[in-house]
Amino acid sequence: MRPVPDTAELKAQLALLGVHIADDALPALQRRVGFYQDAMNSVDEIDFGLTEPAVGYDPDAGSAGG
Amino acid sequence: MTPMPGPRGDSVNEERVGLSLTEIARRIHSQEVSATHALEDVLEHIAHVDDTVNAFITVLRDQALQEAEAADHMLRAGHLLGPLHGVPVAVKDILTTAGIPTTAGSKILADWRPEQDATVVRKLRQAGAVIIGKTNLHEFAFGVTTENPHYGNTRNPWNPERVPGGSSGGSGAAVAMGMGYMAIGTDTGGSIRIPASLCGVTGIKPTYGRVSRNGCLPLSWSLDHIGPLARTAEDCARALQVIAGHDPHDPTSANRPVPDYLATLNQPIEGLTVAVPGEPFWEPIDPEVAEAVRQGIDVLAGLGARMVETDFPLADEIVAMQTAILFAEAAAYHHRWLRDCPDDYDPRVLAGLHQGAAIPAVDYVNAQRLRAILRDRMAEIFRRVDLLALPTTPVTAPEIGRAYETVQVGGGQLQLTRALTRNMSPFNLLGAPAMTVPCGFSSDELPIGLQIVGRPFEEATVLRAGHAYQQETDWHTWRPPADTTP
Repeated sequence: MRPVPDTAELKAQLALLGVHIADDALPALQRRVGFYQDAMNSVDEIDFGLTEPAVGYDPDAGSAGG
Repeated sequence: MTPMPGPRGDSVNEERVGLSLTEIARRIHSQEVSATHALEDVLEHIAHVDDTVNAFITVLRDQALQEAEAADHMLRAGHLLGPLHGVPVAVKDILTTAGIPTTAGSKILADWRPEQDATVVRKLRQAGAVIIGKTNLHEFAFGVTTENPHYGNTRNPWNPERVPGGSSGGSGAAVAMGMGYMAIGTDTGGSIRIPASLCGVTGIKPTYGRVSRNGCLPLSWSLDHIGPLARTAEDCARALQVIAGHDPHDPTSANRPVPDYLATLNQPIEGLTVAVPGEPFWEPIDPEVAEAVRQGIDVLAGLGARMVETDFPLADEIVAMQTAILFAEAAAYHHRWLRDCPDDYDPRVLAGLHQGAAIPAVDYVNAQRLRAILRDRMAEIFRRVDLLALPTTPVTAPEIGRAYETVQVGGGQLQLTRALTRNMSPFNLLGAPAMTVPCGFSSDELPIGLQIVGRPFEEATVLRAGHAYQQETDWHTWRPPADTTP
């Protein structure tokens, strides 16, 4: 299961991009990230296979996915 | 409530501002009414009601009057520029307009006057449309309520204490209120369909790549779509016909022929297979919404569609996919402003961008890989069915200031803004065309929408089903009261 980062970790992660976040905004960000991490748990269990084609883009396919 | 011909007002031609785009175009082109008079009606109506609704950031009164007079002059000389000749339309203020402020609903771009029209704006002008103004939106289209601290909240014409949805809330409210016969919106996670549904109008998100995004500020490159909001499916067909097509200035533009949408609009839907996807789109849901949508689906069945049920693949992973892709792409686009002027953002938009900046690159790539699997599995389903039918949103318009709360809905708890996007984002990930048509009202007189989804590049089938539905029902003719005092 994915962990929820603590607020110091989140602040440091944004700082790597040169982005500053006010301390009083961190708890709300942590709640958002917690919801996201929970949602990503099932994606982490997807078996993509060993030889899937490369991720590409075909503008005539009707979707930018894959 | 009873169906009304148009918004009730004291000072405008109330019948005329309530007409469909199709009908006002016919009257203008036959010179029963001049483009100038049609425009003056709309401008007068905007002056009458938009102080409260706040659908527009910029109204182009003088420029539009000049364009309308030129349109009349050409008509008198026997020249018809195109199907929208002389028709007043609005454009979401996230598409560039040459020499005209394009704010994206932000403080950051408050003073930006682009040098060129977006491709969609250029096509509208080439078809003869008169651009009456730029509509309000959730800041940078990153939100679904159109609560905007920089330009004021847009209010829902049906109840000014409620949000109009978003991010194209100004476009939805403008069309609902008779402040334009069509308005352009953008849709990354429902931003055409949500306001169309919550405001009681018709809106279509076409296939990804069908409409050029050149000149549109991106929210998320791989999920953004542009499309029309209007009163009817037929109006949407006419507008989409104008703005669709390949554009070499947009590398994601599909180089596929655009069919004649009007040519097939009146074909019966008898024999089409319509699938109703299951629980993820119905639980939880407001029981009144569920009932209205089920009745709408029954209308499609009554028209001879063959109804089946279907599962929806990867339903448990949709939120994760959409969030990883949309938020990461948005944070990438906004990175410099996020670093240099974070205090210029609405705090809620800033919070979303911070979240996007914290998404690992591995998640983004895996979400795109999974999206390819979703597309392949849906292609299997679309080999057996022509259309999907489902609720547009599981709730009606939330109250302004309360859309971020978690409330009891039917048999479960829902955070309202997440509820609004729940039935939307699968079709942004898929790129499939998706339309909402009005299908009823709640007991507190708020509109409800039925969503119809088709195979990629088969907008014609979606429009045909919506049109057939609107020939059997009159929900699309209902208009909000003109008294918009909160």
